[in-house]
Amino acid sequence: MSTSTEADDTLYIALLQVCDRSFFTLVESCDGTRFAALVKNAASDAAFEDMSDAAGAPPQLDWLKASVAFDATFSSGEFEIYLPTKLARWLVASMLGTPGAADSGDIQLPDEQMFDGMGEFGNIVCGSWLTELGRNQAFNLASPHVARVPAGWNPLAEVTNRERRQLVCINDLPMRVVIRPSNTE
Amino acid sequence: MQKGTRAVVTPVNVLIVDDSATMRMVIRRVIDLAEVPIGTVYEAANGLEAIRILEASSIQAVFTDINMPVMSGYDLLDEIARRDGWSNIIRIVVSTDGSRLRREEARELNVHAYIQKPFRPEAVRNALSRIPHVDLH
Repeated sequence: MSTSTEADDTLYIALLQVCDRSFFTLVESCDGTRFAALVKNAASDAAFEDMSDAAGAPPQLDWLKASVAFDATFSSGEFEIYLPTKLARWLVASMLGTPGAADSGDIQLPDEQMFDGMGEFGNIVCGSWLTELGRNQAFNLASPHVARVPAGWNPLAEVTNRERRQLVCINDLPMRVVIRPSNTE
Repeated sequence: MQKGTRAVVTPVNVLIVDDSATMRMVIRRVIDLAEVPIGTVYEAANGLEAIRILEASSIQAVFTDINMPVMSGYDLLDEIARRDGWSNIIRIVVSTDGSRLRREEARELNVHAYIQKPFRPEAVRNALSRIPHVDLH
């Protein structure tokens, strides 16, 4: 198994490559402080756009989780991506080549297409990471699972010592990637 | 043929096999941009659906994912390799798994090109150029 630092580096490289080649956008790594600011800003924007929110209620972001179970000789576990639905819609629209809609922020994308696109996003990022990390060792990926994250979830929560976390910024919106090794490792 | 001109070609019928509808749309769009004379583009969500389409239609090129429910891309390629009438079909794998082992497995199944996701449009264009009567130069 590779070192944790190598796993983090290869994950970031995989995110960069996937977003560059298939989603035509840049990825910036960010620390916890900047990530928290991004989450706060995005939640404030969402609350401003949704005037139906109860007055005084803390702003909430609508988050999506795309997860892929992976199994390789060198590692196995769960690969999870958390991102606001606004970013998910933007990424899928960008992947499908509808930059006008993506740039304007007015993206009319059916939930089914957003879910499918984010499953593919998770699949590609996880596969790219494992290809780079495994140095030509084969691996298996399960079908991706995409779901809305229940309200009240904390995007800033720390991970355990065994888990890996990557915080990034895409298009001024936060994305959190978590790798949970299986219990057998 | 004069350099810089393109041969008169018959439109190519293509089958895209991927369990992600979004990825099928992306591949279809990239094929459209490749400036290859394309006839009909068929889509299937798994290997079994692909076999039904191959049995009912004349297909010159298949782009297939590997990890799919119901029937995997490798099972599909294995079936194509066993059918005499399908020996001329150009087989292109489009997969997230870029490992050497997977590429070797694909080669053993007579795959003509292996494209790793994420890919650039040129990768699809280059794969299409392997169809015998398509000249992109």
